[in-house]
Amino acid sequence: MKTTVVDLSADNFNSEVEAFLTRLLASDLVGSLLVPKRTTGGDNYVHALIKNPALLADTDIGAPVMPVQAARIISNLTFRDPGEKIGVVVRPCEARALVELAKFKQITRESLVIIAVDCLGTYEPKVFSGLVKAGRNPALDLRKQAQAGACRADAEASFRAACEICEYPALDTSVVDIVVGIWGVDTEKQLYIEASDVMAEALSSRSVLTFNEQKNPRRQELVATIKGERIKARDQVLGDFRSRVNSIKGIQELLSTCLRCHNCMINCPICYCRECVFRSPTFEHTPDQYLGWAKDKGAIRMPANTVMFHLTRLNHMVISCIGCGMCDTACPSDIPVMSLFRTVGDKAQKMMAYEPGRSYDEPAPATTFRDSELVTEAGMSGH
Amino acid sequence: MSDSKFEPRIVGFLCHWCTYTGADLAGTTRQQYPAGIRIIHLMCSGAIDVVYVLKSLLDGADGVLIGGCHPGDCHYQTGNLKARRRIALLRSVMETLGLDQERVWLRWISASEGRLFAQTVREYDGALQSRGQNPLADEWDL
Ligand code: SF4
Ligand code: SF4
Ligand code: FES
Repeated sequence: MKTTVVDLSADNFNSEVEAFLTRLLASDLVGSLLVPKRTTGGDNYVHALIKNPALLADTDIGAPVMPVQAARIISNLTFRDPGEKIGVVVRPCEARALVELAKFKQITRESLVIIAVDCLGTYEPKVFSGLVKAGRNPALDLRKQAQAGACRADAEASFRAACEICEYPALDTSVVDIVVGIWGVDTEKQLYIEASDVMAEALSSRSVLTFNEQKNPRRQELVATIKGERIKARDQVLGDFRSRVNSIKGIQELLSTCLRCHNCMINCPICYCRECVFRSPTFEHTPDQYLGWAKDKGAIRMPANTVMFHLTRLNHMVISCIGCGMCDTACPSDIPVMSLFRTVGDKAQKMMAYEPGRSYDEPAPATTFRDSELVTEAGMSGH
Repeated sequence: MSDSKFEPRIVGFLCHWCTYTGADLAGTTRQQYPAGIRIIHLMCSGAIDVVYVLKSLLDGADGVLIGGCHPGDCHYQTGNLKARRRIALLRSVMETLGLDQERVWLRWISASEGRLFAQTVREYDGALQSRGQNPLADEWDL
């Protein structure tokens, strides 16, 4: 890993980043860039796939809003070799989702230059929009705080629940090519960048960036502290949630207002199946089937199989759930889907000694096995 | 204590090459086992999708028995070992959510183990007798 501290020569942080991205786009390292860019409406940032460097204007790599999980977009762009390299600016949870998607062959890692930016927290899109409309600059407000320590949400807003318990406010270069550090960095004066050895060599040989090997020990310290605090918060939240859902009654209460819109699944970066079984002919039942089930039980909730939808999704992907909370963002009924997935995932991931997003080399647990394992867990004891 | 009229309903997902054939052998050799088991034929225990196990349980089956070949004997090499991971995961999910994980069993029973098959069903039936009826059988709001 190589590091560099760049003193801002441009007016501000965003212009310096834009200059860096412009040089990157002009080099042969990428043919296009995927970067959060201010919408025409002005109150949101969405990922734009950029070819023309002039359109890097109004981008902000740290806008604290995530209307779509970028891993989903990147999967659309690279499920087949796109024929050129794409540089993608993502936050840690998006990068970790990419690691999982690579294992399911939903992205082509070789086609990507992944740039992970420290995440200071994100607002729901409607909250972010409200802040902008009230005249705030949410990105700048957080960046200013990030030098000193943990960032607080705007007094009139709160971060997404997923961000409050996220243990990955920053990544290192083990699963990405480039890291833009913000925690502990005086972003009014400096830009702090880390790159893998290979990427650093590629960037410096093309004069995109020189690596002066200056480090930022403050960032490391701060990230470790925040990580510790988030783990505590996480254990608290998941502990409370566990006692809330540990009975069928708890699950029924949780899902009472579920619309069965499937938005949680559609927006989840890990739910990659082109056709979910719940939207396939397997679940297109005939009238007499419904009537038969109603007869057996006396009555059935319609649309049928709501608990089963959530239980099945848990079984199919919870091991790879990276806790981004897009399911929460997408749910029109404010059901805490992320808390459900993280609570169930916590136990299941520990059982498999698996941490999603940690490494490209660890196979997804469902695709592998050991000769003797999980005998009790699988209900095989009592032989 | 248990209601003598309660006959647990067990759904058995059995692999073609081993347990299903073992169940067949149990029948032809007149081994006695409870009649409350409904058998679903799979080509391999590795072909099990938890969606079917969940459907059985949420519809009110008292227990689900998944049967496959002993390790090393799977016709498709390692389907059974992958199934074991899937079932372990399912039971972990069930445990967190307070659903009775003992309503899912996985067993390796070979084609020649008709006696073991009958014994396993008897054992499971007994275990389910003492657990009582699956409470989900009475839930409409699922
Ligand atoms: S289940 Fe929710 S938190 Fe987990 S990866 Fe999917 S969208 Fe993110
Ligand atoms: S997004 Fe919410 S309402 Fe829609 S299916 Fe998921 S949990 Fe139910
Ligand atoms: S063929 Fe029997 S478990 Fe795979």
